[in-house]
Amino acid sequence: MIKLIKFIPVILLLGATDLYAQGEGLTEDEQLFKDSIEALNLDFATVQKAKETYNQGIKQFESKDYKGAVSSFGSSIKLFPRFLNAYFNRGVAYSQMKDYDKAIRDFSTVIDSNNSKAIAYAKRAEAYGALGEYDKAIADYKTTIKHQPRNAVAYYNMGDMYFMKEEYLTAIDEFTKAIKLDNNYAYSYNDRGSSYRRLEKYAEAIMDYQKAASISPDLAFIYNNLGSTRKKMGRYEEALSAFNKAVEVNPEFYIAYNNRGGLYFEQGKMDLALKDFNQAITINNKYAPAYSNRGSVMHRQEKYKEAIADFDKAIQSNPQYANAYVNRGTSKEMIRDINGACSDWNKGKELGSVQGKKYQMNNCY
Amino acid sequence: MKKSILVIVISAVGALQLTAQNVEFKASNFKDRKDEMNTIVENMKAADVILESANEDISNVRDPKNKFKEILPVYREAQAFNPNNAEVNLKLGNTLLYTNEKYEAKKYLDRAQELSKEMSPMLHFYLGQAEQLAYNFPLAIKHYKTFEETAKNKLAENYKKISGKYKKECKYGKEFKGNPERVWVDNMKEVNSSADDYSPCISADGELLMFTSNRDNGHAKNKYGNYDGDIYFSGLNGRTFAAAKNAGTPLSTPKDETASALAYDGQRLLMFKEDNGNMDIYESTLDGVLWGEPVKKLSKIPNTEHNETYATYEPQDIKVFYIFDGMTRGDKEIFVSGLMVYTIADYNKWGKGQSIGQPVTTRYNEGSVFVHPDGNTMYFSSQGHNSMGGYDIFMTTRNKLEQWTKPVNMGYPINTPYDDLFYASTANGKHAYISSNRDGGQGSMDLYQVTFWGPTKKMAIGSEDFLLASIAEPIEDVQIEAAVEVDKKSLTVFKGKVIDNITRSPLGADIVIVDNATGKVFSRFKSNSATGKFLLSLPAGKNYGISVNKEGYLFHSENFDILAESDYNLVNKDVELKNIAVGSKIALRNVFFETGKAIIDPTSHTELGRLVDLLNDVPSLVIELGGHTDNVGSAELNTRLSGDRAAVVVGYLKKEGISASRLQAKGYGPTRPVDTNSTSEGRQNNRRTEFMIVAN
Repeated sequence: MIKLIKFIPVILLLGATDLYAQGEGLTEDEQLFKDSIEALNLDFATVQKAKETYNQGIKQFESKDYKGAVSSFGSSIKLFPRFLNAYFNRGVAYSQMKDYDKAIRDFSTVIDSNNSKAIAYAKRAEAYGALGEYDKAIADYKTTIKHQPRNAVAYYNMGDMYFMKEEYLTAIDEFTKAIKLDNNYAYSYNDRGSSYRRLEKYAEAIMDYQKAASISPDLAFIYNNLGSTRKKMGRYEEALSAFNKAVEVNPEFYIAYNNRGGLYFEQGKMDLALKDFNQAITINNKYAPAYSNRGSVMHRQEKYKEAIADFDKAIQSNPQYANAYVNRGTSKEMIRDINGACSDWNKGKELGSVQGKKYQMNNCY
Repeated sequence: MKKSILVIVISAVGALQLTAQNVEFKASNFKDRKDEMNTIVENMKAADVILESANEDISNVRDPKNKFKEILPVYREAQAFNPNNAEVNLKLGNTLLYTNEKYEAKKYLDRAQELSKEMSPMLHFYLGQAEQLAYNFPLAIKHYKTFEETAKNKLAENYKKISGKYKKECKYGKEFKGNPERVWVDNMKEVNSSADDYSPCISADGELLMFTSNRDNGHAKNKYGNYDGDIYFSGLNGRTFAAAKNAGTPLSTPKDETASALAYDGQRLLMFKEDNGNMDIYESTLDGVLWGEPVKKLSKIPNTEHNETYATYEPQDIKVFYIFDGMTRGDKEIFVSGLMVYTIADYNKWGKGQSIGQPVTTRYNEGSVFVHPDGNTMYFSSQGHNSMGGYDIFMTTRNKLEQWTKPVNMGYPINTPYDDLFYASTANGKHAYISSNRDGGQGSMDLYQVTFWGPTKKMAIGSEDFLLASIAEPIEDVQIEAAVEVDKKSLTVFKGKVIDNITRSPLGADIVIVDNATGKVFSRFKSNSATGKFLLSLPAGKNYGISVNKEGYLFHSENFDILAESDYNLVNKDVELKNIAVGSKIALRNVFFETGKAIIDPTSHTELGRLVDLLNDVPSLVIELGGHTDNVGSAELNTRLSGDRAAVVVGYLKKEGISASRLQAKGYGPTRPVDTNSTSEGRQNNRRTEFMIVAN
């Protein structure tokens, strides 16, 4: 019994330490370790959430809910600030929403992380291009090409940037490089043709447009470009057949109807011109040039009130459309509203119309 | 029978009404107004004489001067008194045709036609003119032809020459009316009056208009009931002219003044007025805002006892063109006089006037002349050339040889079958100012503004192209980075202890953790030899295998789950290892006996149970149970007790199913102490039951 009693403290002590070591009770070191594991688990949870939100953003993007996608990517970035893919995707979503400044910011984040691929440069270049910052776009395309020397589309896009800067010879060079890398890309031929056209090298332009059309015969705008170029060369019958082809390929291509109508107008074929302008308006009832051109037909037919009504509609569709103001002034003069005419010619002049300036100077003082 | 008479009576009455009744100036027709009628008839008789003379002037292309003006009120009164007299209507119509109220003539001549049983040739002649004025050219020509075929007397012969001209005018009129000029001709309503407003003069910049008017100016009327002509001005206010104001003295006086032309800079005015019984040209110069006293423009030589009237400047100021009527023919012509001397002292010395000559001059009257600021274009009015009636305005240009070219009619609606005169234009040619007594004005002669449309304005035809394909059909390349795997990672703290299964003392053992799903080793480590503890973190949501290995101990392995959704991320696992090393001695510290006896205390069963487990787990184990004591008391007694106690434990084990062949018992007594016997603690440690592994 006494022996038993002697043992008890030991047992108790042993027992106590055992109890202390298991379950709720932890040593200080063990607690620290447990806390650090908990902290780590919190990190893991955060990253998980970030990835889930990111994946949700992708789903939204694919269903064209760009606003939702932006929000989701943003949340994932908040949870995981180094989530470069999320920045990139958000940038693309912003580009789709045409919010190019924000897109550029995101692409720049990806690029500055020194962890980027060529595509970030390419996408940023697109956004710069959309904002009209052509030199910045060109710099980014050049970097893209450094990473991907066989990227024909990058050369093509760079060509477009030079076109927008009106450096047509350089543009032609870039398009030519793009064509060398991929000679089956109609866009490169088309845009090179347009560059020649701007340089008034119409024969070369026609050749390129025709090549583009042969590669992609379903692109109406190529035929339209062909048509308007031939019109500039005075080859009216050929221009007409090109416009005809354009609307055959795409019966909703109101631009070609309007151009064909303009051709008829110049040839004095007012009935055919009117038909085409009406068709353009039927397809797109906010297309200012078609209203303005139809008004011009009315004016030639001495229907001045109808003409003015059409010019009004053109201006409603596009309040900056100089031609409509100039033409409306010309019609207002014929109904003896010289004050109205002068006001309209002046507005046309302000919007950059040389014709408006001439009429205003010669008739209003 | 009655019916037919009725019909005849009705138709007779009807017939009478168709040809209106001509009412003669007879006392019987104006019973209550005999005296009035007589006065009127007297006046008419006197007027008739003047009318005949005036008509003769017309037929000889002479200026009838004021004859028609004089007789007009007489016939008006007579017609008002007796509207249904064919002759008075005819005479009134005739008279009106040669005044500025010729637009009234038609209604009286029509009336005369209604009242005449038979139309006189002269009625046809005048009706022809009235229809010509009304643009009814085929009908007018018909009347003229009828006149020519029916007129018999001497006067008529002269008139036939004129009617021939009028027929031609009708042909021209038809042509011009069918091809209107690209102009607007607007009555200057703000400026005109019901009286004569004529001879517009415009400054080259188009901002100052001066003209002549015989509207009410507060002076006394003359014997024809007209006010004297005064000079008026109006300034351009935006796009319209302000109401006219009298220029006042020294330009306007109670005598007749007529403005002719404004210098291009608007600082000098040519005018004419009577001096010594004939008209002379004067000039007034603007001094600040006041016009100076007019002085004679031309020196004595060109200034004759004939009439020099409407004059114009020309850009170099060394010539003056003017209207002159001093030639033998007596018709008004365009003359030109050149400056003789160029020094300032003799600056007013002008050369003898000369006719402008062919092809401008005609044997008919020229009424006004204007030279455009460009110096090479002249506008003048004339009854000749291809006028379509009365005065028309013509344009002629000067060629390189300084010769004037064939004049061109300005066309309709600048010209009409009425009198259209006094062309004056601004320098830019957008506007011109004329006078006309055409129908639809404010009364008599009126000022009209001509606005030239200019060349046909082109319409701005807009076209658009998508020159860049990427804008026409934007590339739908919207690649984004792909979705990522979401691994639900969470760590769980895995802690535990390795202890000896019997003695419970901590062991340092080799531990291997394996991920059972993949079979891959997750971690290898050793438990702490002093505490037997181990501590690591394991990813949750897996099943792990743990194997614990220490030499001399039975290899231990088991598996366990670390659940993914554990709230409490701590898993504790203690591992007990079983000692199986041969020769190792393990004290059974938890086996108790009753004092001095070899009877196992029931509290020992737990540990003994562990021993049973060990023996069952390792079937090859052979053990020796040894009893040990301290050195207190008899060695022999101690040895026997320890032996008995060992045997009792063996008996227990056997009872628990352990084969006897594996069990040995021995009493060692005090012979194998493990501690000192001089302390009570030491003695306690020595008093023990131990088992030793004999074989495994």
